[in-house]
Amino acid sequence: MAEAGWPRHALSVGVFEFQRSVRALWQGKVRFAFMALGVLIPSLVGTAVVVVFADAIRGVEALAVPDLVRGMIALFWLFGVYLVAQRVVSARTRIEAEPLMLTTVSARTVAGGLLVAETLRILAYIGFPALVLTGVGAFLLGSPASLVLIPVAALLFTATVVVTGSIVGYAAAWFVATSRFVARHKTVLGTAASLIGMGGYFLFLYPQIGGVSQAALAWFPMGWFADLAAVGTRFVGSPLRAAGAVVGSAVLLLGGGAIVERETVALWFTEAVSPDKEDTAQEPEHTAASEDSVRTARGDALAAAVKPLGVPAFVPTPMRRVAEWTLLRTRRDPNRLMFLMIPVFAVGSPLVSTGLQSGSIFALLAPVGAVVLPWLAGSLFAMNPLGDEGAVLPVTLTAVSGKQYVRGLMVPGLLLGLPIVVAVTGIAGALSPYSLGESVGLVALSEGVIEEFSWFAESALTN
Amino acid sequence: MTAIETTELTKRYENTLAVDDLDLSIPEGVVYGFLGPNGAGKTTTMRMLTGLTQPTSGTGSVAGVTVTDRDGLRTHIGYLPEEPPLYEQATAYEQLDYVAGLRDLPEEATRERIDGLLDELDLTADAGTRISDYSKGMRQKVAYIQAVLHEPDVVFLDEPTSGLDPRAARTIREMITDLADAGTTVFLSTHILPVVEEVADTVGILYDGQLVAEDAPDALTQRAETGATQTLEDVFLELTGTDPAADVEATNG
Ligand SMILES: Nc1ncnc2c1ncn2[C@@H]1O[C@H](COP(=O)(O)OP(=O)(O)OP(=O)(O)O)[C@@H](O)[C@H]1O
Ligand SMILES: [Mg+2]
Repeated sequence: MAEAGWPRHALSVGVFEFQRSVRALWQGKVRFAFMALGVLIPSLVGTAVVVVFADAIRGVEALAVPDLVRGMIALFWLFGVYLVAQRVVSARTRIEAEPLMLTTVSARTVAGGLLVAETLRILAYIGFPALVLTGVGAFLLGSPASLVLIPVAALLFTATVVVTGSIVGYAAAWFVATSRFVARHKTVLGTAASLIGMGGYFLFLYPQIGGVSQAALAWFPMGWFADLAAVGTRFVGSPLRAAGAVVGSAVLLLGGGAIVERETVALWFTEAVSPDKEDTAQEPEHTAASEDSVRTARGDALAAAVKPLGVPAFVPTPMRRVAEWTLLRTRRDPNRLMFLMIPVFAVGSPLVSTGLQSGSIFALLAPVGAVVLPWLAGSLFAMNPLGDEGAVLPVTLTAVSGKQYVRGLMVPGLLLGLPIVVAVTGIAGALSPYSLGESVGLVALSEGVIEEFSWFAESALTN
Repeated sequence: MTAIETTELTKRYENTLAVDDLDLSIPEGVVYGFLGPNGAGKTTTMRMLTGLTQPTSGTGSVAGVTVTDRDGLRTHIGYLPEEPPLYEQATAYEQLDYVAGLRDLPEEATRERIDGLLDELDLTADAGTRISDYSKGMRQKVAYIQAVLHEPDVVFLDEPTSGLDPRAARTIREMITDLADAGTTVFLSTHILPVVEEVADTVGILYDGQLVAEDAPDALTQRAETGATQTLEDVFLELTGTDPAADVEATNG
């Protein structure tokens, strides 16, 4: 049950949450600028293309909506679900200021608000391109219906992506919260899920890899959004499918919304299992009484916790401690891992496609390995060294020097990352058309990137 | 009518018995001071009474609504948690207007009420500034206002004076007394014993999840046997200094 007027409340929660994320982004000006460019440049390029080819578009003959387009829409839909699910499970399982919100409005309102906020965030990205398309439909293809139908298609596309992604994300979060096995192995499971998701996406995005094209996804009902958007234009879609897209979306939003509500209630009002404790049949004890047993069990907690990994004893103590803590934090909070995947694949995908076209994937893999992998290794453990330590940083920095701290951060990257980087770059280099000299150069480059990174982090910290 | 009623209310986390068979019966319009050492179970009790976490066993009701009925509960309660639940990116005005809107409070009257409360707590000058730039005490004040804004029947205050300067702390103490005079029940946890001595009608002392004493502050500090007077601090230290289980063993042995 929810309070009277909950849809209105959910909408205002969504708008408020969206504004907060924009304000939070706005605080980091550089990041904001990058994101804004990321939205603007493709939109401007698209607009320019439309303007240049305006006459050609105007003169287009009647044409059936190709399966390739449907399949592409379906693929993007699936990819969107994957991204939303990942965002939900890694960073947005709960609303901020939860004790306030859940004593003020119903869980349904809060869940609805989170869905609205995520929809608005995505619309902030795809809103402008959708407007350009609307303009094309309405003015170049002479379809007044497009003024309504293309925005509606974009909105339904986004909302269904968000609801479906949230169902998956909250379900995953629920498993992490209630299953000790999943909680304990969430890093491995999460990475595997990421790789499978990304792998699937690339399989369809680049038919050169596995021979399956996007058209193979055309049967997927989510492709019907293409038919909906095409209504009234000279692209002839199936009216049945267009109607199906609307009805199907409505069903999915209502049914999916109900599922999300149940999932969030289960998640928000259930205590999470602790991944560190063993299952014991033993009666819970009063805390005061169990203190003695805690005391006798006390060894080197940090070193024990990072096992089976470890930092060699020759690393000086303060640095070793920082390094061990960095490893532990990455393992206990694997979100950083997930978030790294996205930019890597975003940068990687155009490179891979050029590589595929040029014929030798190894020709590309070697330099990518040399640059991207060290960055990945470094940032995995040390990205944003100041931000991660947060409130603890002043304490940490009064205990160790800035130099020791940054070097400690770099140790895990060097220890685990360097061998992998050298191996991958070396092997890819050997298989590629590069000469031996060039390959060695690439390996050297990869080490250079690592060096550069540590220098950068150190100077960022001391300033 | 009783404002808060619990019967054998119990909360068990994986390996901790946080609240153990708690029986409370608190009349309307009373300020109830809930004391106990760190980890005694005070916050857990409040989270159960505000519907934020489910009791493992036992029952509880607040303002006549059972605590498992979260939707029925919401309109009757206000909660100030240990950590002020605020949004860094909002200003105090925005935060309070937002919460008022979600509760569908009448706009004009509520805005006046917000301005009045901000004024009383000396926050008007900063109310247009982002909360990210606030001090701990300033945050505490905003969180207090949002807990009482809708004039709930029962208010739960977890450490309301934490981080406040002496003047603000006194204002909050006076506000608490005023609330109770107007018929609101205040369930208050704090480690600052003079606050409790000043404002509480009844004091309950929780130790290791169990209620080990409950009485008016005066009655607690008067020793019946000897007629001597102790401070509340003495009483607190005495009642919470040892393991109750060990006490039993000592008397047995
Ligand atoms: N989410 C949780 N999961 C597991 N154990 C918990 C959880 N929350 C509280 N506890 C345990 O329950 C017990 C009571 O905690 P609670 O926060 O209620 O204490 P408190 O009386 O509010 O203490 P303080 O005065 O420090 O605020 C503690 O032993 C604590 O470790
Ligand atoms: Mg507490």
